[in-house]
Amino acid sequence: MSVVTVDPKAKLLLQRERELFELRSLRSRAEEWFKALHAVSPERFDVTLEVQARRATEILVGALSFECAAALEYRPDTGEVVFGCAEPKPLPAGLRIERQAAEHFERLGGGRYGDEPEPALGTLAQALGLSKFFWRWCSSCRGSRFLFLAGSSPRTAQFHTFPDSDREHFGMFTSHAAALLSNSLLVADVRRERAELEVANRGLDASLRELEQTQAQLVASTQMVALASRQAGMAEIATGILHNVGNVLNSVNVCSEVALERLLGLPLEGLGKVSELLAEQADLGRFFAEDPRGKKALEYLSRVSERLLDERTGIASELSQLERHLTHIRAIITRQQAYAKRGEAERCDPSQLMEDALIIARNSHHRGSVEVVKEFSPVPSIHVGRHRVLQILVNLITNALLALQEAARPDKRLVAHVSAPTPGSVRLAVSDNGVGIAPEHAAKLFQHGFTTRSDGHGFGLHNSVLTAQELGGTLRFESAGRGQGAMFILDLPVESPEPAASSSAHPPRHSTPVAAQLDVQDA
Amino acid sequence: MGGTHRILIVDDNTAIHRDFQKILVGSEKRADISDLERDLFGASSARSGPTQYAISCAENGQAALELVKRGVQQGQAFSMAFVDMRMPGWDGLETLTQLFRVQPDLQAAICSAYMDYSWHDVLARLNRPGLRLLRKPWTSGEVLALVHELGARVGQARPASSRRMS
Repeated sequence: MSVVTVDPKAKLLLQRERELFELRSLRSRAEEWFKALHAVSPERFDVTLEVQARRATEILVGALSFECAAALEYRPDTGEVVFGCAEPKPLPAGLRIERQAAEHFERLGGGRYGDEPEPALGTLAQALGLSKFFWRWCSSCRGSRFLFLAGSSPRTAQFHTFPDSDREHFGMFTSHAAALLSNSLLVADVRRERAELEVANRGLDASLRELEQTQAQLVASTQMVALASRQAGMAEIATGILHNVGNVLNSVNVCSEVALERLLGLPLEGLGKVSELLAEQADLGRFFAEDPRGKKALEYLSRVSERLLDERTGIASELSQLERHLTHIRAIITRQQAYAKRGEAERCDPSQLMEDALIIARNSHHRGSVEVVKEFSPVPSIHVGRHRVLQILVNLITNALLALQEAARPDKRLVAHVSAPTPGSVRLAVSDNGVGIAPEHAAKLFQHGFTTRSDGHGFGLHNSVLTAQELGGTLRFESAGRGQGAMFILDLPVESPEPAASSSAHPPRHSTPVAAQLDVQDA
Repeated sequence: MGGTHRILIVDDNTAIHRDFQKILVGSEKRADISDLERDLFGASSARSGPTQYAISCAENGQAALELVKRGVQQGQAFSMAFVDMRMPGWDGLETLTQLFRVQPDLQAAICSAYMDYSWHDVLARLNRPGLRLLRKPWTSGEVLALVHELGARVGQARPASSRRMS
């Protein structure tokens, strides 16, 4: 009885113990899956697809005791395996996912193959050496498909079985692994994009630096051009002076040499000899009356006196020319000294500036017959850097003289005009009836480097307009066109825009009223 | 040095024309006493011989070219030319280029106080190694020596019998 009573109890107990054992083993299996889930997750999310996939297959085989496992990525349209890894043996070369297998995966997503045979997966299972296995299919973030497989080979499939709960756990594990693989793809994309961005950024950086460099060079060369044009303006005056002084000195040399030569050539020895000849004569009356030498001596004396008078006139002429030349040189030098000293702004009489500029420009370009007309109205004195205005005016007058030179007309005329268009400004204008300015040149006239003359450097007007602006004034021109002459108008403020000390020390001085004074230059 | 040399002066400054004239030809008005000195004292103390140079002047390159052309056409080519560098219109370089085109055997010197070109550039552009430079201000001695030198070259380069008429 008791046996009967015990038996069912014992059976129950045994059954309970078996259930408990199974529960324990299931629990430990679940714990393994749980550990595997942790293990497959990387500490950092910047691992590559390869590392991530290998880690997943290693865990499936090592920690979870599957006989073999594979993780692969394939293209759903062609079935081509893009990437794959397998444990413990590497993935067979040339593996592809067949269309029917692919369709099977697409349809079901995940499942167990083995107990209920799926003909669609037969070929793939054989290729991978799997008999019974779990599979899991997902799509990746780049449109491809991930496929995870884990199970037993035909050799061990009989005794190596896995509990049903593994199917769910495998599903969880592989969907987590797939997410990680997708993530590593994204990380790789981000990294590549970042690298591309960095390259682009470096490129940008380089081109920015290049731009800065070019800009600096541009600034430097602009400053250089400004300096060069200023120097060229100065050089224009300097070469004019050099040329002019050289010419005058030449005449000085010739005059002094000729004077010396004539002085040394005076027939003084002859006079001495004649006086000796006369002294030798006992009877001068007979000598003059009868000796043929007497007549010749008289003629000689008369011709020598004539010659001496000629030479005196000649030498005096040379010496007076010499004096004129020397005065000329002194004038040139004095004027230069005056301008060399005056760099800073000061009170200047505009009419005097124009006069000086006319003299300087005509010194270096004294050419043919040009009638110079001075239209000077009474104007207030201006506070300005003398030499800078002078530089502009010399440039304008030189240009006008050259324009006249090129013109064929006989009535060449240059008008120097000084007036006060408004109470606060003074106008200095130079006009000519020379070759004029072609309309196509008008726009470029003030540009740096623009010139129509073969020997021009194109600095003159460019520099002049810059200087005019720096002086707070304007420089503009009017021309009716080619052959119509031209007028350049420099307007300057009475007071210099630059803050200058002692500017009010001198009250405005008015120039002598000279209305339409006419000065016809000698040809 | 035999015969008369025709010398061309090209300078926009007419004072320079006068300077050359004075040095090479001398004063035109001067009472001659050499014949009487010979009769009275025997040996003559006369200093100047017959004029050896005929001077022509031009104020610019175009006028110079006309003179040289005419000289070549009439068989009275210039022996040498003194050309200023800084001139309105054609400068010295352009003028010489034009003159050499008409008369390649013309002897020449550039005279200038200020050179817009380096001497090396001038020689290279004209391709005339024989070209001389006469720097202003010059003295009569320099001019006479240069005229003598260029005149001697004319004798070598161009026998008087066969003057080129290009």
